Amino acid sequence: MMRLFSLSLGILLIGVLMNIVFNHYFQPVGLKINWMLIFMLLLTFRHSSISLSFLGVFAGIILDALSHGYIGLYGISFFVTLLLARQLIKLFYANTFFALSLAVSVMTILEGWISLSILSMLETELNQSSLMLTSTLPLAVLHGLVTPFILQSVIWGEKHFIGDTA
Amino acid sequence: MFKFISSFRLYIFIIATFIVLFFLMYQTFNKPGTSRFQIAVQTITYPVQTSVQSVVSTIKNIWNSYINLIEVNEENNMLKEELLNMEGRLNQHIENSVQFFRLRSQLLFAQNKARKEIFSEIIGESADNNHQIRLINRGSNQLLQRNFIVIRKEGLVGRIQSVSPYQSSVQLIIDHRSRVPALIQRNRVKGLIYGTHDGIEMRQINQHAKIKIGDRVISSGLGNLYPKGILIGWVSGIQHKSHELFKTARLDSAVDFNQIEEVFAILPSITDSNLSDEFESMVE
Repeated sequence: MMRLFSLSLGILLIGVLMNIVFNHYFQPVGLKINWMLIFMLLLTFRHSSISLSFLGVFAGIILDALSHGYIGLYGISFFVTLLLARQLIKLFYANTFFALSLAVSVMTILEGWISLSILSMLETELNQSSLMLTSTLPLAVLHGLVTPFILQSVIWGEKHFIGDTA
Repeated sequence: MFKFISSFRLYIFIIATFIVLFFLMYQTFNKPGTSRFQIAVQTITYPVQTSVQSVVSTIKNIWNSYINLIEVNEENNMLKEELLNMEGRLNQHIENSVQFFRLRSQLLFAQNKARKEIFSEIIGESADNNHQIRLINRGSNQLLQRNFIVIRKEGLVGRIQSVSPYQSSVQLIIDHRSRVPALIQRNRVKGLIYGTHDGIEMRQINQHAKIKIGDRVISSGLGNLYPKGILIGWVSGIQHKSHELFKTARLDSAVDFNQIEEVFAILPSITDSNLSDEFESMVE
């Protein structure tokens, strides 16, 4: 359990680095991939530990601090998404590339909808439906496409750090 | 009671987490300024961002200095020709500007504006896709504060949203939260510039105002946040429906926000000379 938490924390920090550094230079179709969300979702799908949901809160508030500054907004959306992801894995066998890609895409849409809904309450001029169409949906597809590569790296990390894979 | 808590502790913990997060969000939304957590995160991430930025800019410089030399000769000949053409025009402009400065100094004799521009490099951007924010490598240690204006020589970039000791986040004028009071330079028609995520629009223009494509739009100085006269962009399209009270103009931004790498943060004017001296010593 402790090893899983340490591995998740390490992966989360890599996600933070990729979000703040890599995304500045690499934006396919003008969108920034949310590496932290993908990492946290994949870890949740594979291990289903509640501690990962709370770690997701931490990831979310880092994202808050590095974007709009309303601390807690992405914390909430990440938390809800990861809690639901824990329930989602009960419905399907979440250990194939395709299933996980699909699940990550769906959860990305959910996370985007939650965060934009809260944001639109705070920022009245925000056009939620437009952002859902132009930003969240393409991002979900993009997340689905990169998920297999990230999954490989997560499996590699698990093998070397935990010793076995889920 | 203890039995109840122990059997539902996970749910209690989850609810408590939600309450704390909502409270934090409410607090940071209502309290303008930079939260301590934000300062901490930005301070921790600053060394990473600057290191990567310096490596990337070094590689870019090497590329521009050595490998890209092929086009330089051709460009040099073209520039020489252009320079000759410009000299004639320059003479005329110098004449005009001498006159302009003489007249302006007469107008502003009562004001001694000490405006400082702090050069900053962009080292990162918003971690999400919903906000147009850039991170610059200057912060409160360089006397920057929230709401200071950021410009480039082309025009207005935005304002500082939050400040930590070594870096600041800049809200671009294309961010959907941004509002800039502006006017059309040709006929002084006023309006408000709204960010639309992928561009800017001038709204609340009087329905009878005569505006045309290509009109230059500058900041009007109303509201005392953005100084007057900074170029924002050019009118590229006009929308007006018969039942609406106002016109809306779509603008081409003067600054290409996808290309910016360096900006200038403006420290506000200080009219008092003593304050100015004090300020100078602080800067040094």
